[in-house]
Amino acid sequence: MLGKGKKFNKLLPYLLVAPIVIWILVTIFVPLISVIKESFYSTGFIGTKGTFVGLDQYKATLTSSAYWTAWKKSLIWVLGNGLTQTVLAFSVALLLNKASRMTNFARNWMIIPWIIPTIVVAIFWQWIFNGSYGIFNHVLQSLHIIDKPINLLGDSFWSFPIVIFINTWHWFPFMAVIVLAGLSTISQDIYEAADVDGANKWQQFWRITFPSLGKITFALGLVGTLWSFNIFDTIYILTGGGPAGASTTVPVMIYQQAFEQFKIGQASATSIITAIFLSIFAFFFLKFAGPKEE
Amino acid sequence: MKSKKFLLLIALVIVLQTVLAACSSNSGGSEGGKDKNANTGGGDGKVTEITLWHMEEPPNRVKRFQEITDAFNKANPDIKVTAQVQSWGDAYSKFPASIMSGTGPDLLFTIPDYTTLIKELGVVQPVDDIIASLDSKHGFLDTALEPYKYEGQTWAVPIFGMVQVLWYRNDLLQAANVEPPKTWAELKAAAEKLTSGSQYGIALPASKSMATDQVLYSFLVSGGAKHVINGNNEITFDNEKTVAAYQMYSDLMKFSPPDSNTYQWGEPQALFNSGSVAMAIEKGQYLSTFESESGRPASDLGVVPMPVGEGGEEGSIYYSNGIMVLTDDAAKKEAITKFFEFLFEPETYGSFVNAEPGLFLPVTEDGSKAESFWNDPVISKYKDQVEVLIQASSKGALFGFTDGVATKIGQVAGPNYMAQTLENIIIAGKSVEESVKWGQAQMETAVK
Repeated sequence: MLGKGKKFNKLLPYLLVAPIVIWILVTIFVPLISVIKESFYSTGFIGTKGTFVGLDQYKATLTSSAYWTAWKKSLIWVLGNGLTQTVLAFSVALLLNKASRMTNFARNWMIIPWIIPTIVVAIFWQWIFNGSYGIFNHVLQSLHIIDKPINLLGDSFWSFPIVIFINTWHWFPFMAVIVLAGLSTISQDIYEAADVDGANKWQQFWRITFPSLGKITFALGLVGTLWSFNIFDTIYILTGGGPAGASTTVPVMIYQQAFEQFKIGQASATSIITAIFLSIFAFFFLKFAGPKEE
Repeated sequence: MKSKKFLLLIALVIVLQTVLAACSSNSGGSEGGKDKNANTGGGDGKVTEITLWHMEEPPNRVKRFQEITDAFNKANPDIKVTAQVQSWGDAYSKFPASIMSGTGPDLLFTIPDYTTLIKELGVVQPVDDIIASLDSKHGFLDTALEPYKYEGQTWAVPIFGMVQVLWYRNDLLQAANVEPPKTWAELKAAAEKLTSGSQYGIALPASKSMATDQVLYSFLVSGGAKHVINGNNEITFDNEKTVAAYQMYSDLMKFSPPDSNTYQWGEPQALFNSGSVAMAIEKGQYLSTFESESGRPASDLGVVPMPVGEGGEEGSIYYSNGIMVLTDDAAKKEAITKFFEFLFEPETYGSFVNAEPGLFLPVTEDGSKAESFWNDPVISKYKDQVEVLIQASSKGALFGFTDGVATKIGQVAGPNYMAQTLENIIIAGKSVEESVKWGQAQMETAVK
């Protein structure tokens, strides 16, 4: 009986986690294997059978100027969002890292943009910037700043920065909440000691606050970059990747290949190549950008 | 020990549940999880169940389609047609997977180029017998039926048509002393004259969208350049007449609001109803909302066929929506035949088509004359306008279905290459000739 009991004790944890492990393996690896397989076949419309084409589609993607243009847009997207969201999140978190009625109120309400569904965010910003009825143009015209409405989302220069702005507005509260949580773990004693030593606020930020948030900024840097890179819905709803491809990032391009051009095989190859590049980025980020233990 | 046994039992139950859940979804796959016995009708007292997916999401259309299927089910107790609302947004990405996994419908709404794509899955059933029977009784319009006839068979039953015309605001044209245009030259002159202050002469969509593709195609048809691709899937887009049509469209953009390159279906109609623009080229959806949204009488809504270009022909984009049969089950096919017979009876058909009065047009000769069609309050109020729409239907054309049937038209229509060609002109600033050449090259690559 004792032997059976020991066996049981060893087996029980595995049995308990088995369903979720199986579920995770199935939901990750079955689609992944399917995408890898499709990338070697010239499958067109989803559900049809393609012929084996080997590495042709990989070559086509790697030699396509449209793919590298989309990468350029994706890099601008990630950097634009990363910089603006980081600056905004740190600023807001530092402002709200004080106990008062006002900050308590603001802490609760600042997450509103983040909890609004993306589709709603996209639609109301579309209305704000609408060239015919939008409040943005109405205000500028009322103040005699412009004579005629500006078509920001339909302009090949302005559309992409505007989409970055909207996405930043949507996501920065999430980052701010994380930073705020990190700030609350820093002991006030350290700041008081720094005050005694004569350090000014700027020095306190760079010598105490920023290093103390190292682990958080590292995690946000990695997850946020990958997350931001893969954002598709906001861009697609607002501009569809246009006008004239002005906001076609890599995920938008992959969607277009799969569901507009009906080239599932090509889209699969593009996805695999992109996933490899992102994995390389994650590897180097983990290796070189991690917080240094002192 | 008891508690350990209990925990082990729970763990086993969870594992078994997971395995059983996976197995049960597989076993139901071939019939979409339905009870197979329920699909065998006939004289054994069992009910033949038919699932119909349509993508007409507005509540008024959903309600009307439901009323029609309810009436059919009541008249045929041995058949149950279940109408389920889906989205066109999922039609290209999710439906094929559902169909291939056996969880798709028995009947699926379609348009001609979508049929060519779904047909590649090998599940679409020919409907020649149904068509022959219905045609002899009700007489299909050739323009509605032809896009579904290829490879020696018919692949869908057309159910309603849509055609583009030139809508104009009578009050605004009269105020500017402008006659409704019949030619491109008159259209351009009218648009110019009607553009003043905050009012624009015409609203034209110029985004990368199907809405833009369709209006552009009306210009291609009326400019004599309707053959974009032929029956051998060879692209014939780059020619002088196509260039002239794009030139005309670009010229008219000067008299369209500055944010036209974000427009799809809704914006031109909203601007038209608000009086901010005087003309728009669209289908019949303008009828049902004109009075309520514009606050103007029905007589202020004017309509003429698409103006004709020099060397062009009368006509505009016209296409029929249809229903594909995806089941090869004999009992279901029999039930489906009965359903179509019921649907096309004039007393039913007019009511069905008027799910969206003016936008959906009859595709049968007796349907166009049916009392159930003309008695609708919107249709009877706009009788003259509806007659223009019906007349325009007989001169309509659809890209990919004019010079034989291009089975790869989906690859050209999906990425909106016609609209992208326009974007190259008005956004990227390329010449019309250069852009049309670019469009030709893109389309050639797409159909390879």
